[in-house]
Amino acid sequence: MDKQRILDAIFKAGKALYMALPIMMGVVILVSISKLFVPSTVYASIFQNNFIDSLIGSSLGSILAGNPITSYIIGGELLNNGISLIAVTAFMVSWVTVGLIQLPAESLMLGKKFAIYRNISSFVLSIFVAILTVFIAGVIS
Amino acid sequence: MKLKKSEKSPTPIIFLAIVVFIFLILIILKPEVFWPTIYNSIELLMTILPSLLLVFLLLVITNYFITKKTILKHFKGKHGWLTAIIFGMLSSGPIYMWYPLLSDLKDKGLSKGFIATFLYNRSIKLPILPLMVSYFGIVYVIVLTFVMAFTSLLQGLIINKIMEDKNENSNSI
Repeated sequence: MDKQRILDAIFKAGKALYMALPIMMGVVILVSISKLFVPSTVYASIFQNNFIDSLIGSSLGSILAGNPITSYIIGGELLNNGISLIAVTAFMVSWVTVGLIQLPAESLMLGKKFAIYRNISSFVLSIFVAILTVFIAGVIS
Repeated sequence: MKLKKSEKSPTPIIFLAIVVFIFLILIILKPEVFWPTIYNSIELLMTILPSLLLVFLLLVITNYFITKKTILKHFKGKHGWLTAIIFGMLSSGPIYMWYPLLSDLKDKGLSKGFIATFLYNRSIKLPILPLMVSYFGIVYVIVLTFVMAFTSLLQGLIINKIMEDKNENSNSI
């Protein structure tokens, strides 16, 4: 085994987590604050219908961006507050597949049409993924 | 390389600073929220921490074995779709880091569908799945991973179809 390559791999992994740390800490504090101020009935009043839920989840996930770890934390907390698994799944999937913030860079490097079509199809497919995943996981469980 | 600058983006620190600022204002206005917030935060961190250690280990392993060279070599092979799915899942680092390589491959004639499939699978991060399992359970995570891999293929085919049609239309004009 190449010692230098191992050190590089450790450094790169450490850097990736280090870069994600401030966002994670921020999200942890925000989630903790919201637990005190936002009652779960508020979430329940926003998320009521499976299809609309997934649409709201996908829209939120598309606007917000960041490390997938952050979306798992937020998604997990939303689920604990009684939000449907379909909405949470759509949120997490669109968080990582739709990149509105990266759109300019993606357009520049891979082409404007490609970037637009890819992001639009990712948005639509996040709803499809959410419904299919929850359905299959439900059948298996 | 202009894009490398964004690796040193101050956004995460600014975000944390804003959250801490909001928290400080809250403490001034409502001092009683201090301990519940700290308690909730520690509880949440304790849930995440064990998974993060595993995430770190898995990141080291994938960083060691998967390099841009490995991906480039296999994309040129026969199994483009499979390469796009597997290497998309195993690739690490920020997404913009891969744009130059993908742009180069695109110029060399790589199908846009392969690129879309690769990018979609980048959202399945195998090393960080343990954290997801701790929140959603193993069955859900396995099903989601497979559904997303299947959907990535679907997206690749859709992108190929749309982009080909568009190219044909623009050629005919």
